[in-house]
Amino acid sequence: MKRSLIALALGLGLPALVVHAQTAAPNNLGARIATQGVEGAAACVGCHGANGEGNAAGGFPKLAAQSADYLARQLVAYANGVRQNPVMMPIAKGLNDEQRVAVSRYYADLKPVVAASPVNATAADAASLARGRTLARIGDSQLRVQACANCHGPGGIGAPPVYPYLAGQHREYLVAALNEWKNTARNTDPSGQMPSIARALSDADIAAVALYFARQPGPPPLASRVLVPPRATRIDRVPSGPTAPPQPSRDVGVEQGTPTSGNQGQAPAQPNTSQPTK
Amino acid sequence: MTTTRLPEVDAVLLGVGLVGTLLGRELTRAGLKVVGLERGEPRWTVPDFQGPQMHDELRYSVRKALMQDTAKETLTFRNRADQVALPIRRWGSFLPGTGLGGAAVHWNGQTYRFQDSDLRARSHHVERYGAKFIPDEVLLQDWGVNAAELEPYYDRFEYLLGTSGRAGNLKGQRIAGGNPFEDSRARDYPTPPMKEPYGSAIFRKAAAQLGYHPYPQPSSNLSQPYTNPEGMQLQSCMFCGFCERYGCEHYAKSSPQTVLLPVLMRDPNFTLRTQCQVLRINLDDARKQARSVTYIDAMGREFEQPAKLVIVGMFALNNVRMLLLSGIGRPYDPATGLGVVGRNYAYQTMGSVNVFFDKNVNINPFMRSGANGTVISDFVSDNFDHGPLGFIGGAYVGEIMSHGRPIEFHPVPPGTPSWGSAWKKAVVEHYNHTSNINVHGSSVAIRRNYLDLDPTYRDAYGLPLLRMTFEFPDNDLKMSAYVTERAADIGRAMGGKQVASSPRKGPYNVTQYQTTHNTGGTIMGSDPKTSVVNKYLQSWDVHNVFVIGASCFPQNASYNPTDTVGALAYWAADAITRHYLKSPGPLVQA
Repeated sequence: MKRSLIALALGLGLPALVVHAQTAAPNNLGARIATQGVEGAAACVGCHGANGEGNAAGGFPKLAAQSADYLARQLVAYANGVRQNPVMMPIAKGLNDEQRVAVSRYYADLKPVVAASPVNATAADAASLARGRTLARIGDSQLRVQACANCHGPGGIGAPPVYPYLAGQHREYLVAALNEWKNTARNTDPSGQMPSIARALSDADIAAVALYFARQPGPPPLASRVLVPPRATRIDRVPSGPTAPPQPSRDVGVEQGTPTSGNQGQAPAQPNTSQPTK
Repeated sequence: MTTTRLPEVDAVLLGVGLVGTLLGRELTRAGLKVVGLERGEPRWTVPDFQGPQMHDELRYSVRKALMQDTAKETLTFRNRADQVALPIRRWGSFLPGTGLGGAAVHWNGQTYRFQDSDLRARSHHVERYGAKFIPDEVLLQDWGVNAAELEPYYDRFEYLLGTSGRAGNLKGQRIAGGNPFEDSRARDYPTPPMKEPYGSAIFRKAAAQLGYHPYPQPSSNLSQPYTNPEGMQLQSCMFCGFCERYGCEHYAKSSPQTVLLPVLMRDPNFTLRTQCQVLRINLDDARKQARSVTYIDAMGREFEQPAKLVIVGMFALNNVRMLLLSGIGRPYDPATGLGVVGRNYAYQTMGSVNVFFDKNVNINPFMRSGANGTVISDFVSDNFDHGPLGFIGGAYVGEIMSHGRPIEFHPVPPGTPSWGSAWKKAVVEHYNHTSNINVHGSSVAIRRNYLDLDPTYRDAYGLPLLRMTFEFPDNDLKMSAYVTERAADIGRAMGGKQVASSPRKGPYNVTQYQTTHNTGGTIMGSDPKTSVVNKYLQSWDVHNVFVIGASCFPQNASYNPTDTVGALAYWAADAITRHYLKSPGPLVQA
């Protein structure tokens, strides 16, 4: 958690020093901002719900279990005007860096919200749903649009920390977000993919993907997904076969001209202690 | 078997990969009716290259799903002519592709122009070092074109692809941060350089410290969305790390499917036939003109397709084989030195250096792309003085990792056991903290390296396989030892705990992957006694056959071949549409 917070802060260009103060105690600051607000920013729960479940009719997105890095970047984008929204911009500006990081982390840690009942799809929606599934999983050759899943993960569960989940997100919000990409109110994709993709989609296609993702099961909790590199000790506890003494290998497989394992038919090299030549 | 004879068309393309797509477009635009014959399957970005199934390393990297099926057709291989060549049953050293779009679907996108000193290799070396400097066994030849002639075609090809990079020499003016050794170019790259990875930045600082001139590797996996002159839009690369051997799901890699094929497919003058294996080109009785090609379709039916013009664009090795099977040009005999088809076969001389860092340094090799990183050209070709060194040629050196995938990439320091707990421990320790420096070197042609038809082994259609006789020339091993040591200097300056150097060593082993940069066999030149095609890539023997690909390279230079293949394709297409079609016949008098 500490490591990811530092990475998060540094990724936003925030001093890591700020983040250290956070790691000692539970995220009271984040909880306070979310539930009570601070001077300059109303409580998030007012629109985003007591459990981060958002509000479909109001177009306020679910925040629970969303990537902390993604949420914090959106807040910075709202503050800088890179993402335009009359409600969020003053709120984001009213928070400082430390507060943005804290409240993002708070929402990331929340349990994913499961809808009481799936989003209603009427018979008339069946074609739209099928179209949404196609775009989400395969893309469209004529429009030259790739599958959403390539970046947003299978079923739209997201690929934290970078790509937000879409699964179970409110369809009204998804429609609004795609239109923000389309009309350049939102410019938060450094790769330029999202504006391109949104412009290729008709209103019907936008409605279709929004309907499809709204009906997907939500993402798993974030803690279960963010990979922490295993420490060496864990590997030591799983011995596998006798350890052979170092031997010269013959004809070791070479990838890109690089030996992939072992020594390369030569005597083991001495550790390199020479200084650079200049 | 009955052969169905089809109505004649203006031109037939053998292979619809990069070359077939470019020529198909140029010829249909000129009003010709063109048939494209591709032996592989049709495939498109959507649905065929989409994730998550495209990110299947076992299927695509290890089992080589996009490559030629060796059970149907392969090569036989031997190092020397006194050995018996045996079939390559599993691809290793090189991986011939197949399918619509060809290898440009699964290439890495590394896009470099050959230098003038590469194209005029013989003249240049004689001028600078004297004829005696060239080793006896080396067949060093001029291409018949120079960099100034090819410049507009390189430019055109790069703008078709949308290649991302920074020019180093704009109209004779040196630009800081680009490649100072490149020949003058008229325009900058169509898109800016990609983001630089951390490992490449460490390399850049070390290389600059040693007085070299690092610059961003030119990449045809684009840095930003781009619409090319054909109206095709490409997207930016997402650094997913599944580039070589994979199709790109993001529309970010420049491939025929993303840069041109959809335009060609809309042209009523163009007909695509996939899963059609061409068996031979049929000549008229005088054997001076091609009149048709014979092919077998997916149902096993044989067809004869008459055509006025034949474009052979099947990939270097297959180009050579097609000419040999069709009896076009005199086959090369290394014993006598006579003949031309199969002569001047060359490859690429690859070395590397691994830099092992402390575990606090995260290289993140999985977060890369096919042509992303920083390189130096200080040791490319003849960019440095070879006088005291006793070899010709050179290599570019760069931190351009593209292969950090879980099954394939497990760098460990020398002395690590090859298997077992200790190996696994070392892989865990070093996977994310190792930088690999690539040493990508030239390959000279020598008299005894060549291609011909195997006397024993045949393909699924009963036709002789191509036989490859190749051993690393001493010249190239010397070059690799020298440049890899220079790369190791940079490695040591990068601040790792340990540096392990792997220059290329003989014997050439066809089971170890190196590159698929096979060149030569149908080389271009100004003398029909030592070349198969003239400077316009037209067969000296059969004037309505054009052979286009890396098989035309008289020797291979330090850089990757694709940019030059694309430029030559446009160059040949120009000669065909502006001159040949108006007056069919030899474009160059022998």
